[in-house]
Amino acid sequence: MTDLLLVEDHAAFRQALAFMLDREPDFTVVAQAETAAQAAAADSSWDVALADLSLPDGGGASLVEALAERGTVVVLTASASAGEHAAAYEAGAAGVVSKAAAMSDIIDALRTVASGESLVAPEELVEILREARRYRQRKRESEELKQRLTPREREVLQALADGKSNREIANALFISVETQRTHMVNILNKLGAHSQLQALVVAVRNGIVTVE
Amino acid sequence: MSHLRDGIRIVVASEPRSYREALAGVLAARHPGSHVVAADPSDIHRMPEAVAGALVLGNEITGCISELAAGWIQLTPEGAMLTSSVPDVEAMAMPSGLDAVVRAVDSVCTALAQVR
Repeated sequence: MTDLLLVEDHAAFRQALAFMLDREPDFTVVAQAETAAQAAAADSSWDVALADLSLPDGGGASLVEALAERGTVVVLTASASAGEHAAAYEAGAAGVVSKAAAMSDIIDALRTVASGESLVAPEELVEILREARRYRQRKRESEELKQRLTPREREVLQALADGKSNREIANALFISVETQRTHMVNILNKLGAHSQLQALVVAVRNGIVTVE
Repeated sequence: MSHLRDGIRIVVASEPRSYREALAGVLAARHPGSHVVAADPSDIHRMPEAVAGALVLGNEITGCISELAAGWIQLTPEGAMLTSSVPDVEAMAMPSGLDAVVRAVDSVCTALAQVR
């Protein structure tokens, strides 16, 4: 029998998963958590944790690390980012399964890791760990780029990402068009961009602004 | 425990797939008299015969669903109950969690059975 911990902040999803997993003859859901704090404080001993990476109070690689000290961890994620998957493996996850997977695939994955096997071949894991290193590097570079900009410059960029013209940006931020232009020149310099369009691409790629 | 009327078809067409299948499994297990299927929402417009007269659960209520389905329940991206074709059910959309979704399904099915 495999005792399971479910970590997922969306209650209806977690409870439906628990219902289905409890119906399997070899699984028992012994604990559920909707936050990283609850998962860390779970009293029950468990064999395998099925954990979402994105939780209201954090989660991610640090949650995987904490859980992996207590048992086997399978990450269940909506993210398709190879970098995030790799970071989960690097933190100690035995497997990563997409929420877009079939229930039967999730059950198979849990059985595989419960039996001590891995969801990835050793040679695949080597490439995953390389990707994890590249992902960390990209995140660090993005963070450095973000830190170069002042809060006001980030506001100007976000307004640009929202589709506003220079005059609309100036009006929205209660600044003159000249001041807005000065901000934009500084942004271009700091991001190494030659045009507003290029600056926008760099900003989106590095998570400095969001595009609806 | 709920009291779904036998014979009502339920189509679960929400995302992501794992939740869709789990929710369909929950509804099928609790109400063996009903025919419950999980359907990829991108395929729903290609299966009008399945949607017609059914209760459909989805994240997006498309024209196909609103025209053909007997009733529908819109789920949030997190899987909680959002709105429904039955106003009384829509009014109970506050609590989150699986029980709230199941209760909403029961209530819509009861309402549909009454107008049959």
